[in-house]
Amino acid sequence: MRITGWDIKGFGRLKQYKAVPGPGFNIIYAPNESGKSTLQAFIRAMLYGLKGGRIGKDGTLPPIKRYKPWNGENYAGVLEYTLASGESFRVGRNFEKGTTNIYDSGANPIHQRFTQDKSTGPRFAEEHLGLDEATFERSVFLGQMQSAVDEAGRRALIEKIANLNTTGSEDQSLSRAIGALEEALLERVGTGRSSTRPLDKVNMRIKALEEQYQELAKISERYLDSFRELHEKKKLLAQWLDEKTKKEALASRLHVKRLAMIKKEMEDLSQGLDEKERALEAVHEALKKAEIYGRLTPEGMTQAALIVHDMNRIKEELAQAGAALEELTAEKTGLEASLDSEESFIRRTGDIEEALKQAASQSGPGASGKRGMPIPALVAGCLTLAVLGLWLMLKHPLLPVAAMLALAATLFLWLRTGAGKAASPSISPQTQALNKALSQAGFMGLDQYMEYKEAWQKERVAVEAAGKKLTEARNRLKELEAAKTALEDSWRGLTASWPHARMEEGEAFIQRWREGMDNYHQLSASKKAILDGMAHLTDKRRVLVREAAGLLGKPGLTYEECCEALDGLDGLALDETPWEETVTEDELKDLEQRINSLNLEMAALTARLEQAPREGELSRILEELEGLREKRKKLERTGAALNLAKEILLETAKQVRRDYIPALNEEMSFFIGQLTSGKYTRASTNDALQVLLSSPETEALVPVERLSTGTIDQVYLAMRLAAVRLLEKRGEPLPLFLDEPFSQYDEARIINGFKMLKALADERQIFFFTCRERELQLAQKVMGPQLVRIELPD
Amino acid sequence: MKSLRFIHCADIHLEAPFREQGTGSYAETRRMDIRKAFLHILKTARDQKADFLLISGDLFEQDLTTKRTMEWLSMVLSDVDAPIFIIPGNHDPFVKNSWYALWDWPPNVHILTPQNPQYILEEQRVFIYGLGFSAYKQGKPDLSLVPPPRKDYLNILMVHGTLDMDFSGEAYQPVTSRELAALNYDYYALGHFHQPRAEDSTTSMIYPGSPEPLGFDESGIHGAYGVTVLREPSGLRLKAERFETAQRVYHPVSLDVTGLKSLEEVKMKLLGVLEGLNPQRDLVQITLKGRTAMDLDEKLLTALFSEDWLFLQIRNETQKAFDLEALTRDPAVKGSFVRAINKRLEALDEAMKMEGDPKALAEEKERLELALSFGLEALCNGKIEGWSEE
Repeated sequence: MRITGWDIKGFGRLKQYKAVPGPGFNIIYAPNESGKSTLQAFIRAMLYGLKGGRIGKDGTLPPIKRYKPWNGENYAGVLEYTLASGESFRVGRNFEKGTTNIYDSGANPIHQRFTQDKSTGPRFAEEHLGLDEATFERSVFLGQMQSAVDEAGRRALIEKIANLNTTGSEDQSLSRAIGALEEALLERVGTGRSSTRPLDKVNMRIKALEEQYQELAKISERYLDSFRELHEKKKLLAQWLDEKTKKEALASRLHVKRLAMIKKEMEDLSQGLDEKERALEAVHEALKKAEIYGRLTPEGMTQAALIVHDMNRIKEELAQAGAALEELTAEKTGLEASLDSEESFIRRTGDIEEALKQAASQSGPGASGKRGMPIPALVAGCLTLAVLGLWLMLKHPLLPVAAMLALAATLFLWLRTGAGKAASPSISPQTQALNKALSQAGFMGLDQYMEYKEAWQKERVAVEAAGKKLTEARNRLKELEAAKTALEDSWRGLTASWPHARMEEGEAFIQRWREGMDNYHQLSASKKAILDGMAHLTDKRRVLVREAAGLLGKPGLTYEECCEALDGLDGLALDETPWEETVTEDELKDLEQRINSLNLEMAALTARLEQAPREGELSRILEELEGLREKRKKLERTGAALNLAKEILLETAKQVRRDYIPALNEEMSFFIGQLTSGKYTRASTNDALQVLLSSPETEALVPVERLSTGTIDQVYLAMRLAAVRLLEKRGEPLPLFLDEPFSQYDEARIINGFKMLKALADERQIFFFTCRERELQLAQKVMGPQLVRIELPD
Repeated sequence: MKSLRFIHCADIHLEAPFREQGTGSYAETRRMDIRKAFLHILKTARDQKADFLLISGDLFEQDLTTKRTMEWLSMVLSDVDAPIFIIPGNHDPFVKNSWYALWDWPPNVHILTPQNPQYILEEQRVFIYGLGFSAYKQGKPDLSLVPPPRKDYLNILMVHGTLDMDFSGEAYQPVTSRELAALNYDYYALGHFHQPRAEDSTTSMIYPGSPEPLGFDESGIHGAYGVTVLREPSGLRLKAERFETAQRVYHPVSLDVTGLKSLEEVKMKLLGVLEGLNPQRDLVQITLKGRTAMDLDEKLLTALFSEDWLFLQIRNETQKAFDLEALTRDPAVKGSFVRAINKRLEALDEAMKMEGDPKALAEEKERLELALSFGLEALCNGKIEGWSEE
C-alpha cells in the first residue's frame, strides 16, 4: 500500500491541508505541536474510522470528539492510496456526519462491498491491508524510543523487545499474562496450596456442613431407630395385652375350679382341726390330772431319791446311836454306883495323905520312889506292850498269851514295890500318925490304903472314860438328829408344791413319782404334737384362704369371710376332670410384669422421641450445601478455565517461539546488521525468554540488558521493522510511520539508520516524522534525491 | 359395566430441600407449596369421587421427613374416602427405618412393598402391582416376578424408575417401554421423572411429573393425571387427563447482552423479560450471556429488580468482548492463542455432532470459552477483572 495523497478538510488542528507523498522515503520535518501526530491520526482515521462513545472516567475524549476541528471547519477529509496490485482507491469521510465513501480507480463507489461497522462504517482497510486497526497501529506506527529518558524507559523497552521475542508483539507480555492468570487463580479461586481463598472457604464450609449433616443424620437415624423400636414395642404390647386377656379369661375359669377345690380342702382341714381339737381336750384333761408331775423335774426326783436314801441311813444310825447311849449310860451309872464319892474319898483319905506328907518330909528323898513306877514294873510294861505290838504285826496265836503274862508280871512287880516300902517298920511319930489315920479311915495298913486309893483312882478313871464315851454318843446322836432335820428341810423345800409328798413312803414314792412324770411328759408330747398338727392345718388353711381371697379378688379376707364368700358363689362345684390349658398366677404375674416393663420402656422411648431432630434443620443444611456445591462447581470451572488458559497460552507461546520468533529474528538480523554496521548480526531468545544478540567480533551472545541504551533502541527498531515484514508476509507491503525514531541516536547511528531506511524504502513507503533539523540534513545526505519532504501547514 | 376413575400422581417430594436462595423464608414457602399441590390432588380425588389414588414413589424425602410431617400426611390421607396405593421411590425407599415401615398408616392407605407388592380391589375388579424401591439405588427390576394380568380385571403396574433411558451407572430401576408392554397390563403408573411424560391421552404409560416443580430444570406446567377407565364390550378404554397443581412456575431465561452498550440497555432488556410475569407466582432466573465490555454486577442487578419477587436471580455469565475475528489474524501469541482455542472448539463441535457425552462436551466447551476470555484479558490488560465469585 502506498498513500498517494490526502486532502484534510478539517481534522484536529489541521485544515484545508493537501499533500502528495512520495512512494518511498518521506520526511515530515516540523516543530513539536505542529500537527505531526494529528497527521498520523488522520491517516489511521481515514482507513479505520473514528469510534464514538462517552468521555472516559479519566476525562479522555472519545476519538470522534478528540479530533473535531478547532475552528468549526468541515470535519472531513480524503485519502488516496494504491495497493501493490495496482488498484487505487479514494476514501472520503465526513466524521461529522459519519459518512464514508470509497471509490475505485474508476471513480465507482464501492463502500457497499465491505462489511459495515455501526460506528466506523465500511471495514475496507481490514480487507485491503489484512489488518485490524489495532494491529495496524501496533505494527506500522513507531513512536519515539524512550530508553534513554530514564531507567524505567529502558526497562520498558527491554520488556517490549522481550515481548516481541516471546509473543511476537511488544505489548503482549507472556509473563504478565501468565502472572495475571495465576493471580486470578489464587485470589479469586484458590489453589491446592492456598487456605483462605474463595474455593478454600467454600470447601471448608462444605466440609463443616457435611460433618454437621452427618451428625444430624446420625441423630435422625437414632431417632428413627427409637421410633422403630417404639413401633415394634407397640406391636408387642398389643400382642401381650391380647395374651393377657386370654390368660385372664382362662385364669378366671381356672379360678372357679380352684376355688371349688379350695373349698373342699378347707372343709377337710376344718374336719381335721376338729378332730385335733377333741384329742387336745382329752390330753388337756389327762394333763390336768397329772399336773402335779408337771411341776417336778428329773433333777428334783433324783434329789428326792437321794434324800430318801440318806434319811434311811440316818435313821439306822440314830437307832444304833440311841442303843449305844443307853448302854453307856448304864455302864457309867454302874461304875458310879460302885465308886465312893469324891467327898467321901477325900474325907477318908485326907488325914492319911496329910500324915503321908509329913512322913515323907521325914524320910527324905527316898520317898520319891513312891511317886513313880518301879523300874522292874516299867520293864514288864514295856515288854507287854512289845508283845502286843508284835501280835498286832504277826498275828501269832501265842503272842496274846505272852502279852497277858507280861501284863500280870508288870502288875505284880508294881504292886510289890509299893507294898514293900509301905510295910517297912520304921516307926516314927509320923508313922504313928499315919497308922492312926489309916486306922481311923478303916484301913488296915498303908497297903490297904494304897490299894483302896489305887482302886478308887482306877475306877474314877473308868467313870470318867464312860462319861466321855457317853458324851460322844450323845454328840453323835445330836449330829444325826441335825442331819435328819436338814434332810427333812430339803424334802420340804423340794416338795413344797406337792403337799401330798410322803418321804416316809421312800422308794415306792419315788417309783410312783417317776411313773407319773413319764406319763405327764408323754401327755405333753401328745399335746404338742396335736398343737403342731393344728398349727399346720391352720397354716394350710390360711394359705388356702389367702389363695381364695386372691382368686376372689378380695385380699385380706378372714377365714370366716372366705367361707362365707365361697358359700355364696354359685356353681362352685368341684370338677375333678383334668384341664388341658393351664395358666398359673406366676405366669400372669410374669406377663403383667413384662407388660409393665414394656410400658416403662415405651415411656422412655417416647421421652427420647421428644428429643427429635429440629424441624427443617437437615433441609437447611442441604440447601446451603447445594448452594455451596454450585458455587464450588462454578469456582472449579473458573479455576479449570484459568488453568486451561494458562496451559494453552504457554503452549501457543511455545509455538510462537518455535514458528514465529526464528523468522522474526531472521528478519531482524538484516535490520540490526544495517543499524550497527555489522557489530551485531543476529538475535535469539533462550529458554529463559532472554533476548541475546550475537556479535561476530567477539563471537559472544550478549543479553540485551547489557547493551548500551542506543543499541537497545536499535534492537527495538530492528525488531519492529522485522515484525512488520512478517506481518505483511505474502500480503500487502505496509507503509511505515516513524515518529522521532532516532531521537536518542548519535550521528553515526542516525546515518546507519537512514541507510537502513533507504534500503527499506525500496520496498515500502516510509513517513519519517522529526523536529530535528540535523536529522533532516542527515536524511537528505543519505537519501539524496529519493527523499520527499512533506511540509505541514503553519 | 361400571366405569372407573382414578388419580395418578408421583414425585411429590414432601420436605424437599430447595437449593435456590429466595427472599425471606423461601425454602419454607416452597415446602408449603408442595403440600398445597398435594392437597390439591387429594381434593381432586374427593371432588371427582375417584375410586382410588395411585402415588408412584417419592411421596416424601425419607431423610428429611419428621414425625410432624407424617402426622400431617396421615391426617390428609385419611381424609380421602378412597383407597390410596403407594410405592416407595428412591427418595423414600422401603429401608430399615422407612416411615412406610414405622408409621401406622390410615386404613385406606396401602403401601406396596417387595414383601407385599400387590392388592386387589375385588368390588371394582382392579389388580394393582407395585415395583418400588427398597434401597436408595436399585438396578434393573426382575420383571419375571410380576404376575400375569388377571382376566376381566383392570391391571395396573406401578413402577418407580427410568423408562427408555440409558443411564449407565445410574441405578434407578431402568426399564424399557417394550419390556413393560410385554407384561400386558392395562395401565403403567410411572414415577421418577419430574417432567410430565405421556405420548397422548390414551397412552397407558404415564409419568405425571412432580405436582410442584422443584427447581429451574423443572419449568413448565406441573400437575397430576385423572384417568377414566371405560369398560366396553371391546375391552377397556382408558382416557388420561392432566390437571394442574403447581403453585409456582420456574422460568429459566437466557438473555444475550452482546451489542448492548450501556447498563440502561441491559435494564430495559431485563424489564422486557419480566414483563407479564407474576412476582409471587413465577420464579425467575435470568442468565446474562454473550460478550460485552461492560462489567455487569449480578448482585446489584438482582437487587435492582428482586424487591417484590419471591425469587428473582440474575446471573452474569457474559464474557469479555473481543474482536475474535481480527484476533485470529494476529501473528503474535494473542492470535495463536485464539487460533489454538478455536481449533479445540471446532474439534469439540465435531465431537458433539458425533453425540458423545453431550453434558461433558458442553462443559468442556464452556470451559474453553471461559479460558479464551481469561487468556485474552490477561494478554491485553495484564490482569483479569470484572468478575467476582464471592
